[in-house]
Amino acid sequence: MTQLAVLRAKKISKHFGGLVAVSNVSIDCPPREIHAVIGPNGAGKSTLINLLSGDLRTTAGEIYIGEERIDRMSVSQKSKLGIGRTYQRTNIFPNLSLFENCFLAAQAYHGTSLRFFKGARAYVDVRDTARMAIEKVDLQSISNRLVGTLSHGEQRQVEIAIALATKPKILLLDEPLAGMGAEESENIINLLSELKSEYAMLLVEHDINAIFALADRLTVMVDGEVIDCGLPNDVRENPKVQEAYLGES
Amino acid sequence: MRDRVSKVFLFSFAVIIFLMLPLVADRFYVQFASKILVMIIFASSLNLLVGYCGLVSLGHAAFFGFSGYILALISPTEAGVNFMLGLLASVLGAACLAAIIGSLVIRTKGIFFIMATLAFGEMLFYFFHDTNLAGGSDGIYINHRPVLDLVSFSTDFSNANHFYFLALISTIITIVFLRILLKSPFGKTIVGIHINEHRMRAIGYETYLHKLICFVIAGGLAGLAGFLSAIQFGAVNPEMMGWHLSGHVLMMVIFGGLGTLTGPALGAFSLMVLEECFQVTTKHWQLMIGIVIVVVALGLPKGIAGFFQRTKSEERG
Repeated sequence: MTQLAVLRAKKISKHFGGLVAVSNVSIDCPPREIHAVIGPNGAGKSTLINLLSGDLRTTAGEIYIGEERIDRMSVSQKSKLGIGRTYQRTNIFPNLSLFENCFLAAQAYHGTSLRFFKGARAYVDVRDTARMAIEKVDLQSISNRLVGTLSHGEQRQVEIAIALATKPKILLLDEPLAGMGAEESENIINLLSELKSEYAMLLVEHDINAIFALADRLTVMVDGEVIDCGLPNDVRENPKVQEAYLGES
Repeated sequence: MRDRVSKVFLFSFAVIIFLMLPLVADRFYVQFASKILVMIIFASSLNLLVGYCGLVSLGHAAFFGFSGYILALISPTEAGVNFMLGLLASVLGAACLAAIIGSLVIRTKGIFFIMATLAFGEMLFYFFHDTNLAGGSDGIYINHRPVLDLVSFSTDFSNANHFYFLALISTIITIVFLRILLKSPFGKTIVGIHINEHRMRAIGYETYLHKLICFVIAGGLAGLAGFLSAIQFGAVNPEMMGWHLSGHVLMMVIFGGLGTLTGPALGAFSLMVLEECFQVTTKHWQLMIGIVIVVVALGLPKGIAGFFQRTKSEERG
């Protein structure tokens, strides 16, 4: 890989007491690529995302964004450096409108949250960023609805819009298709392939069809370890992978 | 838009009623209204913490009482202290105390936060109660109230009317200040923290800092209320810091409606008027208040302000 990765993890591990959830995992996310991570339940995929985003601290190893080492930073510091993430279980602000959801995220990016006197809505650049995020997920028509009243599929899109409003360099997507019907999945898959031109992405997903439609490179994890990493079609041919994962489904 | 006009209209109407009160009512009612106004400021300050930022504190009276004590301690025995000096010292003193206590308690969450604020409040209560530093359990008198020299005349806050207008102006300033604050980016941020702190951190907010600032502002405003209360009664005592008062003001906020600007005002007003009525009619007035609170809590989960909001949205269909 000639291009420098946006996000790099070098041999990161996470132990919960005696349990090794993630062991010596190295992973690169180059710009404008979707790096997908698959593996059976309990393989440590979500833990990996939580380590990269800062929701969990690594036990060992190093994480870099660009040249900067970030594995000792808090989740909010990492977010400011450009890590945007979505959650497997929808994690939004249910009693605010879609616009307000994205507005909060944009406000974090613009760093205006410690202004006390001017009305929040008067910050035009914050508003523009929020609107940009809503346009990207194509939900302009419902930007004034309370997101708690939206359908599950729409809420999953809100989840992505919030992450986009922080103007991330990389998106960590934790099962964005979880619990979606075929048509809704189709929408998200299209959305993600559009976003690929702008963001590096790490995608954890169970939907194999989506993975092969989207991924530029594929990592397979089993029991906290990487068993293969490469181009999706090469990985598919690996007998170890077939045995561990693809063969089962 | 119509909504906004009617809000401005209602607010102005309330202000006019309050402005005219001293002309028509006798001294007792003016004093009682002043007491309500002070409690409105106090309840509004707690509402910023509980209703908007989601931090339920049972030690908020600590700042109210501490501020009163500052005024009492800096007041010379032979003359009143300069009003502005007293105000600054009391409010900033309460805010500093809030910064110290806040920096510790904000590390905790939920029930532990409640217990931690309660513990600090009680610590302060017993500090003033059990030491001779400031009159022990009896408290201390403020023999001469602070003096505010206006252009043409000097105020005398032992005069009920003078104090009443001071309380009224302070209340208006507080409510306008809170309204501006809550519309600001900071206001939006603390509401976001209340709804989903985890996600706020994930999108890049240092929530500890915002919560601490909120705690300090709320402490400072409680200090303003305590300062006024000390002027009104001309005395301070440890009860001003006790958990009893913290609980009482929390009740006012919940009664009136958490997370609304009018809630604390409605809550303080109605609860104090009810208490006064029950006290006149029965010895067991606290029992009656208890019953009313249970009924309101069951019937109006969003308080009195929530009730008005509901009828309004039902009218709109």
